Amino acid sequence: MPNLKILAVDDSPTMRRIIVNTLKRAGFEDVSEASDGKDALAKLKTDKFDFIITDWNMPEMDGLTFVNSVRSDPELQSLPILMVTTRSVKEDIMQAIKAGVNNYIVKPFTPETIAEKINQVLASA
Amino acid sequence: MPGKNPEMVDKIRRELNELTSSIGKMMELFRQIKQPIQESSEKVPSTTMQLEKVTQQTEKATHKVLDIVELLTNRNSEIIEICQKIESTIESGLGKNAEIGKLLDQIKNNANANLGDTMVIMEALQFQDITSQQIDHAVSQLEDVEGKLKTLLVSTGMAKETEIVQNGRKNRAFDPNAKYDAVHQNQQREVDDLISSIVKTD
Repeated sequence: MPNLKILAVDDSPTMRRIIVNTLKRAGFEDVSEASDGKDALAKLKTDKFDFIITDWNMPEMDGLTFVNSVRSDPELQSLPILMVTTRSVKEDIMQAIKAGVNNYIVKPFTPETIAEKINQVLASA
Repeated sequence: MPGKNPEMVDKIRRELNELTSSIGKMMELFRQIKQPIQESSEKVPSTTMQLEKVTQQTEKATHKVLDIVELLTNRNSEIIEICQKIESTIESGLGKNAEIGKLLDQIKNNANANLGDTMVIMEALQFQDITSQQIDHAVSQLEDVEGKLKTLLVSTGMAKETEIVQNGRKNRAFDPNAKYDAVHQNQQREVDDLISSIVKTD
């Protein structure tokens, strides 16, 4: 497994813990957490990351606004982003892809799905 | 009064009396419905508090289960490591022993199966995030009803604005369509197909 530094963004402490554990089991050991888009942007300013996994529905700054902010920042715009959300409506998925997410996972997800999608995104980068 | 028409005056008086009586009845009706409306709007905060407690308690319970899952994961990973160490120690001292090797493989297989099961538990625990979003949606709708009832009380004059207790609304982020689908692989497949079609079109 590549030694990726991943930032997991989710307002639910339960989901953050599940994502971190799932990633560790898949071989991704270096995972940091942020509780919403605003917190994530602050962390991206002070630390370097290789990959972002973000939820959509979050207070303060939602996932879509966060993706737009990352994509409009010249220093961050090339970071791969995987969205992990409960939103499964076609229009939402299209909106997320247009905003610039590299792939999309619907909750609840299997551990295999998250590892598979990360590898897909990395392979196509 | 010049041009006074007694019949007309009488008619107007009768209509004014009827109007006064109707207004009186309406006021009585307002007085009757004021209490249930006020009570209903006052019940919303305690109901939302109860629902929030459900979220807090399920979150607490989920984290307890996660504590145990993490312990199990670590223990099973250790068991696999110990088996590997035993294998290499035996091999370096006594050479390969088929029988011991088989037994160690069995232990490792069981530990790996346990690790797989912990991941299944972790997958199922995602229900907590999904149900908390569903509860947030319900709470948000209750708060909307509370707001409308309070507006009704003020706009109909049943209560003064100063008498209404305004409860601050929390900033809630939720998907109104969030659902926990036990067989969720199909849902992901549909998403994958959609993304493939978007990428192909572009």
